[in-house]
Amino acid sequence: MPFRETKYLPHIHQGEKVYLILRRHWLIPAFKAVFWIFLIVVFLLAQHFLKDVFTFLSSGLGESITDIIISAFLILSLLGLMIVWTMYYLNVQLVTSKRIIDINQKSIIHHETTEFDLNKVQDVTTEVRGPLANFFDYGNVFVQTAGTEQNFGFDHIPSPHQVAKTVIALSGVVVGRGKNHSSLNRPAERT
Amino acid sequence: MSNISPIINLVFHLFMIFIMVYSSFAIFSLIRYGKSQVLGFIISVIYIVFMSGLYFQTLFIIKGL
Repeated sequence: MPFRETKYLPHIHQGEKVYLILRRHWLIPAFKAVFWIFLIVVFLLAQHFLKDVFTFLSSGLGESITDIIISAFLILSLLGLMIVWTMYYLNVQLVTSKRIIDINQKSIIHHETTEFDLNKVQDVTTEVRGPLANFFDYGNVFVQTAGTEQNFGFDHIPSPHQVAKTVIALSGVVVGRGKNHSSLNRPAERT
Repeated sequence: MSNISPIINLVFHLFMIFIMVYSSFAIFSLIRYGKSQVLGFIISVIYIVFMSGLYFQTLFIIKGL
């Protein structure tokens, strides 16, 4: 059973239902977050090491400046983690009964929304590459559209095969080739 | 020692202005385009609390110079 998520939809068509809300697999922002946390740990360990090696950093002005640099780096790292999460949260793709909508936050101040109708879908390709992608079941889905319009891609989404099946099924329903496809009868997945 | 404190103070506050501006854009985008405004506000408040703590800690160190 599809569900309604009108917050994301710039305008909803009559009878339109939302089947999928997709974000990147959690592993992708986790890698970026781990990178920032790793930098923090390295910096803190380096601070202790440098204080042992260079004794002038252990007291007085040297220690204060070292602490200020560490604090500034922690502030920068916190900002980095915030940006990682914000970009993950704001990049969303929706598949409805009539169209595919890509809400793309390209940078903090660059927001883009693209949509195209499901009746223009010609080919759907699934790509799962690498041991992690196979183990955690995430990958890319490429949707080729008719004519000169740009092709569309779902990047690093969970369960790409299921997403591809849903897109094909919905496209078939829109064009009128098929009805009541089995993948549409399952409860909608929020991924 | 007292000569270097105003310079470090100035550099640190210039750095913080950059951080605050960038953070403002991030928080604005989060609340404006995010699905849940409540979640956006909660994350923003937690972020501001941690940032403020680090800011005041650094300020305390600079004042000790």
